[in-house]
Amino acid sequence: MDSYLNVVEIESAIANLASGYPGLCTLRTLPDASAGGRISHALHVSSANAAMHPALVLSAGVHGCEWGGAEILIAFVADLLAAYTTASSLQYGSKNIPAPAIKALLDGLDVVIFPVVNPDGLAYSLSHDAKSVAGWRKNRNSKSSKGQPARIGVDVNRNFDFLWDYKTTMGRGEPPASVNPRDPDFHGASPFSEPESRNVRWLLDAMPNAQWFIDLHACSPAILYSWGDDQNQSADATMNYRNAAWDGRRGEPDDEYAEYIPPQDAAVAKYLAKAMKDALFEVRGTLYRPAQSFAYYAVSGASDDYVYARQWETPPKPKVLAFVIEFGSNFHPVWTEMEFAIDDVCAALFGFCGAVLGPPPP
Amino acid sequence: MAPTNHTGAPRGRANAEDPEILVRLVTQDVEALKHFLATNPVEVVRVLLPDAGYPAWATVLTRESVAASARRMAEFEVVVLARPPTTDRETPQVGQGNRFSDPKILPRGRGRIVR
Repeated sequence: MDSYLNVVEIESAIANLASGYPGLCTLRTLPDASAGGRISHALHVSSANAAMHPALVLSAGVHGCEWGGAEILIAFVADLLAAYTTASSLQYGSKNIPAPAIKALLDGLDVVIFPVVNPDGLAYSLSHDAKSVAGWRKNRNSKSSKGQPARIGVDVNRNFDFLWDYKTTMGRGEPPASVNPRDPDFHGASPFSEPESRNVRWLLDAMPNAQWFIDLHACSPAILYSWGDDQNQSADATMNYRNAAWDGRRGEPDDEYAEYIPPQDAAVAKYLAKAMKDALFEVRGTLYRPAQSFAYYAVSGASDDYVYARQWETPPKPKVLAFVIEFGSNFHPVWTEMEFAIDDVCAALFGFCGAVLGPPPP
Repeated sequence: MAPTNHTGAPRGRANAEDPEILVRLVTQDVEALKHFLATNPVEVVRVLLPDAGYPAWATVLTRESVAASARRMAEFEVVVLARPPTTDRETPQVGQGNRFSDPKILPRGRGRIVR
């Protein structure tokens, strides 16, 4: 291919992988159609029969203008399947993934890709934004628009049920989202008001074996780990996003509030982020900085925070460590530049899988 | 694109003479960065604070004239990441129709298979 896939092609590509590798792939239909009536699918890649492997869930295409996430995920599983079924190794630039590592990956892990969480937003951006540097970020839900095009859409990555009600839970600094439908980070009418965020939740519910989640975004070469609402701390477990006593005091750096993360999770998250960074760097020397998601600015309602926080829901869900890879340095570069980002991030994902299958971090 | 913090004054409408561009500000001076972001018409895509020997980075959408003002400040290195394309060669292309309409056509990755 020498250009981006359109939304129809993305759906067909993963359907073809499912039919081309019937013993290894299952197409999963997500339950909620988008406002535009699009039905989304995820591709579940597994060599397991009865026993379940721990699963890595990968999503992309949450923001319409960030082209290329689906291409990365499809390339990753296409390479994984081709190499696994031919007992081959893979080469991305200077980075080699040996055949035994690929066999170990699919013999030990399930991989699920959800390549376009927001198909309406991507379709709109693909047809409107080629001549701009950014473009359409939200979905295309018009419920809050009052008939005005400028008010269409919800930022799917502010619609998850994690400190969604930021006016209550967060401080008075820079708002982490918006209640104004005109804004690109409008968080919607309620948590999970949008079919796109509900589909991500459904996928996690359907994957009780999920242990890791990586959401692909653009475009600041970075690898991010929890949390996104405030600086991390591991000293006071009561200082956390569920504790209403801290409402109104989150989201500012270098103040009295910081978000609790268990020390072991903090160590593992950093270790895995570094594993991705190192594997990616080997391809052609590109630096993706590992960092906590919060850095100066807070976010609320984001998918990665929601996914990691599910372990503290009532009843609790299995723990899933969550990451964001922000790929490339451009929301939709020309294809030849996007190819570099595909190589880089595919290598990072193989590096991640190797790290979770390897010995625990020191 | 995680944060979309609308700091500073309204960005105003970009035009051919002063288009919206995507830039990265790189600096060791976090206070100067905070001040710049708070007082200039920028939309923040991502900020990374100094860590493990890396300087602070801010990726922002702004206008060419604002990036030029940052470039004149000694505290910042300004890297232009993207400008609006002006030619077909600079414009990203999107597939037409469905190149996977035949179920036998499998997508291919970018890794080189080595047997």
